Amino acid sequence: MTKEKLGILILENRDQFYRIARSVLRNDSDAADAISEAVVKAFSGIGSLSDDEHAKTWFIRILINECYLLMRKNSGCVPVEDVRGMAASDDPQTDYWNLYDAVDHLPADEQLAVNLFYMEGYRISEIAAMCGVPENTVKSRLKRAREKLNRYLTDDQADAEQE
Amino acid sequence: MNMNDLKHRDLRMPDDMTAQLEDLVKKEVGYLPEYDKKKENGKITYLNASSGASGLTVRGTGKRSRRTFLVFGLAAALACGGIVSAAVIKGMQAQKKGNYGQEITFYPETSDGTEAASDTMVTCSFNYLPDGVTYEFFSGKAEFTKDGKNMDLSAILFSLDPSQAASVLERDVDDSEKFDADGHDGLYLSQTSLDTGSALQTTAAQTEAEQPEADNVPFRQTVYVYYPEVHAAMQLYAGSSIPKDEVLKIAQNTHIAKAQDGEEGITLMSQDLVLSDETEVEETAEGDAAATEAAVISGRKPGDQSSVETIANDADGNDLNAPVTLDTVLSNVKVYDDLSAVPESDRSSDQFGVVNPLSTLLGDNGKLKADTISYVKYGDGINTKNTVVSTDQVPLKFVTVDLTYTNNTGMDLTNILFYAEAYYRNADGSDYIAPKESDGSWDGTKRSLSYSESYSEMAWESVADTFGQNNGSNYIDSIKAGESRTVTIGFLADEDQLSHMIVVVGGEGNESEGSYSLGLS
Repeated sequence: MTKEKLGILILENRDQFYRIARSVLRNDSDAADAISEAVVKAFSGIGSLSDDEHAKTWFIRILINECYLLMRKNSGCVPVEDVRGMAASDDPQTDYWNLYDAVDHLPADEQLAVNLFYMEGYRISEIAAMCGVPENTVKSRLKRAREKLNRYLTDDQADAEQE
Repeated sequence: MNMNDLKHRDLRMPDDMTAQLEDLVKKEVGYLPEYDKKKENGKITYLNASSGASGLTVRGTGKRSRRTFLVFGLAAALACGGIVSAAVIKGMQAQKKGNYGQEITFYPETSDGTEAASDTMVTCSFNYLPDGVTYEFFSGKAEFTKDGKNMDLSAILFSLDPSQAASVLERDVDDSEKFDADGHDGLYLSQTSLDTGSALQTTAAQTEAEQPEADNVPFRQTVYVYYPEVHAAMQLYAGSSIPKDEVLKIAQNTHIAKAQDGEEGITLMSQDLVLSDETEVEETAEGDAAATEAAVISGRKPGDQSSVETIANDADGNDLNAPVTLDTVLSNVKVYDDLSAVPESDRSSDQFGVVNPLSTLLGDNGKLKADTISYVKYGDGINTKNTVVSTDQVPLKFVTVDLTYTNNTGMDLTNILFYAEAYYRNADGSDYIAPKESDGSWDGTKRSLSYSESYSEMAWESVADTFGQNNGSNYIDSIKAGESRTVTIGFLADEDQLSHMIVVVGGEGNESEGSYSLGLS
């Protein structure tokens, strides 16, 4: 793959990469750092990309690694205003704000799996490859996330009916 | 609301971040390339016709792709396939490749250059299903359940670009049959493949008599049905437990139509996402991979303290909106040749609908059966298949560990989720594979009874379902502030895996603080 093509791929998929970075990291500043590091590593490693067809998945794998590295470095230092994560940037008036809020409260690994599967539409095997974990771990994370969200949404609906 | 509603989320990179990204790309490339600024989730780069054949990829890691999806323009299709004119060929066509390959091509009915909208909405109804089976759609994928358990059956609806033909190459095909699905082209495939990795995995639909052994390769059934009027297709998967005529009947009685205004529709999956190559992605950040794996094996020993994040309810059973952190200790590691650690009533349990009922693992002498390790030579699925070149017998063991959770949160907790996984790693952090040295005659292994080569989920836990919530049973009903509760968890492992066994508490697999090397020999 040429550098130009890689540059185009990165720029044209920036929104997706942003969403993935925010799934793991809870603020724009860290997401920007992770994406920047991933871009630098991707260009330096472009020679090892043997198949253009998988370039996006390859880049996402690098991005996820950078996100986890940054998360480990910054553990315990999440700015208070960013605790609510991406939901803070969603419009509270939308019908799905509670769902987004619930997803944002999931642990990073579960949130990432949920976003990659339901929002970005990747398959279990792809998510496993990108995250570097077995497929069964991805399934377990999705299952746990669904259990938590199901409880959260069920309680939310019950509250709404009572009001 | 359901998980499907996550698609409505429209998060975009902020403009200032985009500007920074452009500067970075410009620095790397030497100039800012022209790109489509409005494009979202851009499709995977199309292969050109000349590289179409090279889309077949075989990797030596055992995780080779079952299929390769090629997308090429009509002009390229004309050049490659010797097709006289696009107007002649239409519908869904299948062509045999090698001994076991089938290339399936979807030809659009019109080529007016209209792009299929990525958010095409359709309605879908399965007008025939076996008794007691229900379904639910999640982002273009239908999951089928019976008696609350997932069936070995799923369906994906995906969009097709009406301006271009698209092909998919299926591998390991033993039998194929065209059929009519209510006026639509249908294709049935029967495939067998000795996949390495996970061992026996059963669902509620499979009985003890149907347990596949190492030399009894389960087959899967794949059905494609083409709906050109909505620029879409369905890919239906079924395991061997569902009879062929039932699978065909389901496909023939599936009705799909474009959603009308006001109708609740299903968003189609993108063809790129649905049918991408499953080949393992090369890892270029080797340092990061090593660091990740080292984190799993450089953990604690039994008796050491760790902490895990989990979810719980408060004393009144209300959901807490943030995870809680509990102090955790793993201890009391035991290895059994039988299931004496498991109460009789739990031996017929079907944990997560994945692991076999434990009782099926006992021999007539009341001891665990010997496991079989199959050494597999990989094929490409087109001309050759994965084949077993030799097998070894190895004793199967049941390993239990106690996990003690202490609640130092300052508040009483109820309905606390717990989870653990087992990994098998060499001292350098790489996956432990098999006791037999590789001599070039085999590429990978498969175990019949132990969970998988390098990983194992919980096979049993001592805590029963709590609050009657039917929540998978891995919940502790309550831990008061300042108190502790202990659960016992069981894993299936072969004797050769024991010395490589690491239990990770919390189930994160790579970063959990609760990583324990069991120190078994």
